[in-house]
Order: sequence, then structure tokens, then C-alpha cells
Amino acid sequence: MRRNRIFLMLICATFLCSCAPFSREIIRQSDEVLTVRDVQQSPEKYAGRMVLWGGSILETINQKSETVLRILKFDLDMQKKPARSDKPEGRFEIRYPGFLDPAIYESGRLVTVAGKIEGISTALLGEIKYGYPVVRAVEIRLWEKIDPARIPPYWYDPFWGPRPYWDRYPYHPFYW
Amino acid sequence: MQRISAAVLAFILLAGCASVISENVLREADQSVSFRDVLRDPERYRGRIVVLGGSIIKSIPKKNETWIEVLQQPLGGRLKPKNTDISEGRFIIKYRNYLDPGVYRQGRRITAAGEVAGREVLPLGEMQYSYPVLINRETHLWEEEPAYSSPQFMFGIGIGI
Repeated sequence: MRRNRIFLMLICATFLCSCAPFSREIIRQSDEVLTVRDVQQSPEKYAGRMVLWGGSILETINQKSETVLRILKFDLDMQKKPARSDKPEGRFEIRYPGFLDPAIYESGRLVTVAGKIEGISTALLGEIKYGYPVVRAVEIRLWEKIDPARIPPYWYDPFWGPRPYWDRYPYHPFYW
Repeated sequence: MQRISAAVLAFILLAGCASVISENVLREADQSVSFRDVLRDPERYRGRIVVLGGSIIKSIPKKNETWIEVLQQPLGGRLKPKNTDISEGRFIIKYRNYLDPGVYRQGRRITAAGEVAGREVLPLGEMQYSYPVLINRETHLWEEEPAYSSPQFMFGIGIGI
């Protein structure tokens, strides 16, 4: 009984550790709870703070010496992967010292970043000026997109149809 | 027993068809006014509540409000805009709060009950388009439909290093 429990804990620990794409050190250092609004309201106070933030890419801007990713911020799940929602917390900017190809970092893809708050960058959005908190990237994780061609066929049943299930029995090859 | 199962069945059916706009607002809405009427003469219907829908063309955050331009489409079951090229025109929904254009983005379908509030004339290409305006009462933003049938259940085990 006791052994079992330890074993179970071990398994859990393995899963939990192996799922997060960021080093434990970074996760320990960074603030996941800090919100976009906090930074917008007092950027000086939070300058230099490590955050672990994520969301979906709105725009990728290649500048001479760096790449700016504008992100719609979502909450992170256990794996630190952003969970898409229609109620995002706000927007922020990732600044990465180097080139990120906009053909890969394209609009709609999910990223998680560990980095330092650097202040606010203001840009026009519709007819307002939006203050994007700037995160200087230390580590970026781009999440794989779900490729429709790669979804294994067993996820949908070709014999599924508008007919009710009792009607399906004689025609269905697997008889369930 | 039978009565219970009938009740359950009725509940399921009703829940399945439930409209996305609350009943209170729907009761206020004037179902006899068509989009075409409003488009032709928004002033005449000023103050009436109508339910319109379509796909989003553009969202424009402004000071203390957001405007959403919509391409009107006829509403189908559950007041969902139909995926069709049939459209009578465009309209604008005005919101008193900030809505993010990253969420209310081009192509997503939207259904709104709102109060007719005149028109806005805005440039469209090289012409001027007269948009009827609704002040939002209640809005439903529809989930995007993926081009493929997405899996409803996923289960996986993996170990990463």
C-alpha cells in the first residue's frame, strides 16, 4: 500500500516535470500571476521582473536587430501552454534579440515566453493607443500547430451519420 | 417513469435549441423589422431593438467604446448567422467597453440584439457606405468552425525530455 503510493507519486512527478518545456529554474524565478494591467498601471514597479506569459500571436514585426511579437495573452495550463479563450487578459509584446521568421511565427500560433518586463510600448490599435507591456525574451516556446492532415483517422468514424445509432448496427463494420 | 423521461427529453430538446440571446431581450426585440428595412432608413427605426448577425469585417477600438463592422447574413437555427454569400449589406455594432480585435476578428460570426441608433457614413474603397448602427444590448460570438472535424476526445500519454 505504502509502496504503491510512493510509486504513484513518482509517476505523477515524472509527468509533471516532463510536461513543462521550461527549466525548473526559470519557472521558479518567474511570475505567472502578474497581469497585463498591473504592468500597464505601474511599469516602473515591475521593470526587471521575470514573467512566464503566453498567448496567441497577433502580429510579427521584424526590425533591424530584433523581432517583436504582439501577443494576445491567455492563461497557461499545467504544461505552461496558453489556453485559448474569448476573454483574453490583454496584449503584450515579446522582444527577441534576433530574427524570428514570420512565416513560422505566424498569426494565430501559440507561444509561451519566459522573460523580463522592460516597460511599456505604445502602439495604435483601431483608434486608441494601446500600452503593450514589453517582455524581453529569455526563452520562447512556440507550440506545435494542430495539423489537420496529421489527425489520425481513428478520431472520427466514417460510418457516423445523421441516422440514430440503432439504425447503424447492420451497416456498421464493427458492430457496436 | 414515462413522465420523467418525457421531461428529460423535452429538456434536452429545449436546451439544444436554446437561443443565444436571452429571452428578456428577445421579448423586447421587434421581429417584424428586417435588416433591409433598417438599412434603408435607420432613422425610422431608431430606438427599436432588433436582432442581427453576420460575420465580422473589422473591429475598431475607440476611446471608451468599440465599433464592430459586420457583414449581415441571414440568421438560422439558434439565431446563428448562416454561412452564405447572401447578404443584404453591412452594419455597425457599438459597444461601450473595450473588445479586443484579436478576439472579435475578421471572419468570426456574431449575433447581436441591439437598439437601432441611426447611421454612420464611412469610406469603403472609393465610395461612402452608410452603415446602420446598433447599440449593443446582448451579443453572442460564435466559435470558429475548423475546416476539418476536430477531435472531441483526446487522450495521450507521453514523456518528454
